[in-house]
Amino acid sequence: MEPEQILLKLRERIVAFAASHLQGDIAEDLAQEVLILLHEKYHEVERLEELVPLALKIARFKIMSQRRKWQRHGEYTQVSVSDIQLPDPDANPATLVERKLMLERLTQCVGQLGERCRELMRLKLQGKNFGEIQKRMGAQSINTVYTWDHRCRQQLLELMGGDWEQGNP
Amino acid sequence: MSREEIQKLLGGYATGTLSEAERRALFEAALEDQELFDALAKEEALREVLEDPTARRQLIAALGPERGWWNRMRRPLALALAGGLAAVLIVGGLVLRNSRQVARPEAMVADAIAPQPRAALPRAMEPLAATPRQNRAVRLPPPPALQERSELATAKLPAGSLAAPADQASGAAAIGGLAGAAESKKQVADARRAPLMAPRAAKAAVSAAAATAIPAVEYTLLLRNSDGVYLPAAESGVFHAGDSLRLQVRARQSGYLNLFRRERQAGWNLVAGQSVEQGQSYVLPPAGGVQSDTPERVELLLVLSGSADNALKAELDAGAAPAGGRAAISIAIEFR
Repeated sequence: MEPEQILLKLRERIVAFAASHLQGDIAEDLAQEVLILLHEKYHEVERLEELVPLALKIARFKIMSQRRKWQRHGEYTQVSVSDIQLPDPDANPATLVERKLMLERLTQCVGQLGERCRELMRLKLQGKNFGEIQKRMGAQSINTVYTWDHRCRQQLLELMGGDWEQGNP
Repeated sequence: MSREEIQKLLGGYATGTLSEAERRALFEAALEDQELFDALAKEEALREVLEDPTARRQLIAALGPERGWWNRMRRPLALALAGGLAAVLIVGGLVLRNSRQVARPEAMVADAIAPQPRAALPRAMEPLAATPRQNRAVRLPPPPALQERSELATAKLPAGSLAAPADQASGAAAIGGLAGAAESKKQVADARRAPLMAPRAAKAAVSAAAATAIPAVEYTLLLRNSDGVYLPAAESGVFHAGDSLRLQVRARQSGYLNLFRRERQAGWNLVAGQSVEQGQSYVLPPAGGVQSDTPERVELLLVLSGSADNALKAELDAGAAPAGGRAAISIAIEFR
């Protein structure tokens, strides 16, 4: 897929995703800002495998930033491109607190998973890929591992209350 | 892959478990499927948390102890193998026992012959019991003297501001830091162990004492894995041409952190600059990584200043030490 095609598709998806969290016209603006940022700061990123996660990250920050502004000021202010400092996400104390809370909830929930899920999660956190996990856990096929992982993810998500974060995208 | 199969890959996105092909399949499908795209976007929060090596370690600890060998033995395949092995051992034992019974008369004949004085064995073949106990204690040779030494540590930085003597602070370690004398001692210990830990390995020689005692910066070397995820490098890190590295840094006070790389021709080049808050973690460089396409020794310099520091590069190129309230760490990485 050509980079232009990827960007067009991305825009469509981001608008729809943002619209489910923000008002419709703001969602359009937000998607546009994501694309501008991609073009201005990350124009060298063209591969699908890099572009999609980067766009997701920017869109998420934009939505969170927008929500915080609403919460703080009770008004809507356009988020400029320069508002987002991707290399420095930790600088925002609110983000840090949210991550800390999420990590605490995760820490509580992973311990409640079944034995197989805990083993699978451990191997994933140790950086093993699905092929290596298949060998380590003695699964007959990689599809078996995909299925185990899918169920374990569902189980963990349920333990977390259906959302990794409470109230954020 | 069917849509259902691709959806199962979602769980591998946040943990960086997916292979290149799996990532491509997932992202291509997400561009065509809004529901999948939304699910992927929701995974982003989890991915951000799991990017932090400290968080990963915390979760691994929360998962409880790793499944031991006995638990693995409970699996049917392992049980079948163990049973087969036991059967082989029993049969083997029986065969050995029968063969010994057949050989017994020959042994009795041999016993009837008067014993001959045994020829002196070469010293190396003498049984251990005959060797005096104190002679069996082998004293290991002292480790070879450390050869890699930070030029910056010895030549550029004011000796009075160092947390540890410069010649004690170079060594192989993937994790470095400048947290004072105690930590420096640990680094020295790591450095002295290094030749024994990885005798043949190409290693990261990290010279970490070239800094003022306060303020201090801690860093961890992160190595990009095959999925493009940067994870903490092993302590006896082996780096090869083509490897990509980043530094996870944590400053003990707020300020501005600059990462420089020394180029043969151009002097010190700024790789990344970042304003930092006390106690918070940052990854440098935020995009790309420190790498070398050919085997070489790469010198990095991490400098913490009070504010954005435009004059620093010129001072470094002029051979001046980062002084005036700045803290610096010299890091040498060897790509083999």
